[in-house]
Amino acid sequence: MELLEQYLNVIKMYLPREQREDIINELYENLLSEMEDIEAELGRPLNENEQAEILKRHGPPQLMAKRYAPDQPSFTFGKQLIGPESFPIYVKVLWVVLGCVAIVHASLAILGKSPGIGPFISSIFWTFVSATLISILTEYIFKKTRQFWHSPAMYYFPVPKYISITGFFVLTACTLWWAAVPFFPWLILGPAAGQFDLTATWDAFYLPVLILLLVNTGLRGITLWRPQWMWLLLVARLIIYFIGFSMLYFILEGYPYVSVADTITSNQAIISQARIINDIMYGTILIAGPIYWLINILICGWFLWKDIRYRLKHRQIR
Amino acid sequence: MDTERFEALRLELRRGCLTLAVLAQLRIEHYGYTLRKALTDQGLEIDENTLYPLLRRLEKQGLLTSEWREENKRKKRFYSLSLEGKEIFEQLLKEWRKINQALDIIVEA
Repeated sequence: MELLEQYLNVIKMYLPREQREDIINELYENLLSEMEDIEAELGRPLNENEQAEILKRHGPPQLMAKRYAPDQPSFTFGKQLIGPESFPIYVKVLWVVLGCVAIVHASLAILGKSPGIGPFISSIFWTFVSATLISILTEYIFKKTRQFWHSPAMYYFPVPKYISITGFFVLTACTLWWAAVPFFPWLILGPAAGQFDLTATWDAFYLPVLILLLVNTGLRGITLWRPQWMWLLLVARLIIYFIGFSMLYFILEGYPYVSVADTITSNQAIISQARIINDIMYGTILIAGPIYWLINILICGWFLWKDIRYRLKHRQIR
Repeated sequence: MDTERFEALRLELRRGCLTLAVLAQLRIEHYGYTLRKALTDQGLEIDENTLYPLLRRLEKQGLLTSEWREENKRKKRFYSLSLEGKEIFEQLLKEWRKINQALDIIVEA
C-alpha cells in the first residue's frame, strides 16, 4: 500500500507533533481496513488507480490534517495570506533560512571576512521579507492550483510528466541564457553593459555552472522518458545541489564581479556605480544562494530518505 | 450560490445529529472504520475526515474511551461510550426527541 503510506506521510507533515504518530497509526488502520474490505468484495487486490480513488474520496491530506487541529495559527493581514494548512511549513522554512543566514555570517566572521552587524541585520530582515513573500505567493498559487496538488499523481513515486516538461523548458531557457552571457553581457548587466565588464571571476564559474545546468536539463528529459526513475532525479539533484552549495563560498570569494569597462574613462561616479552593482550581486548571492541550495538539499534529501526507507522495507518483506 | 447556502445549512443541521448518532452507535465498541460502516449501513453517510477527528474530540471531552487492541494480528483503536458519555447521551437523546416532536408539529401545522 505504497500510495496509502505516501498519503499519510503528507498528512503527517501537517499534524501537531504530540499526536502525530497516534493519529497516523489510527488512520492507517482505518484506511487499510477499508481497502481490504473492498478487495474482499472484488475478490482481487486493488490496483493503484483504485487505491488513489479511495484516497481522493478522503479528501486532500492538508484538509484531513486540518480537521484534527482546527485552531492552527495563520498569517493574516486584512485577509488570510498564509492559511493554517501552510503556516507550520512557513514557520519551519523561516527557521531554516534564518538559520542559514546566521551560519553564513558566522562562517564569514570565523574566516575574518565578516561584513559587520549592519549587513547581518539587513540580511535577516530581507530574508524574513523574502521568505514571507514567497510563502504568500506559494499559498496563492497553491490555492489556484489546488486540484492539481490534490490529485493522486502527487502521491506516486514516478515523476509527474508536468514536473518533467516544465522543468525541461525552464532549465533549457536558463541554460541558453547562461551560455549566451559571455557574448552578450547585457543579459546580466542590462543597459549598464556598455560601461562595465564582467570580471575574471565569471570565467572561473562559467563552465561549472553551464555543466550543472546541462546535466539538470538532461535529467528532466530522462525522467520524461522514464518517469519511474525518481531515484535518479533525487540522487542527481542532491549531488548538483551539493556542488552548487559548495561553489557559493568561492563565488563570494570572487568579489568583485564587474569592473569599469576599459573603453570608459574612469571617474568617481562610475566607480561608485560599479561598487553598488557588485554589492547588490554579493548580497543577492549571500542571501538567496544558501536559501535556494539548502532548501533544495533538504527537500531532495527528505524524499530520497523516504524512497530508500520504502525500498528497504519492501526488500525485507520479500 | 443557493447550493452553497444550502450546503452550509445542511452541515450545520447535520453536525449535532452526527454526534448523537456516533454516541448511539458506540454503545457497542467499534474502531473507526467499522463505526463508519455501521453508520452507513443504517443510512447515515459520514465522511472519514469528519468522523475520525470527531471521535478524538469526543474522547477529549470525556464522552468516549478508547484503547489500542490487537484484532486479526493488527492493532486497532477501539472506541466506546464512557460512563459520562452514557449519561450525556441519554440526556441528548431526550432533547433530540423533544425537538423532533416539536418540529413535526411545527412543520405539519
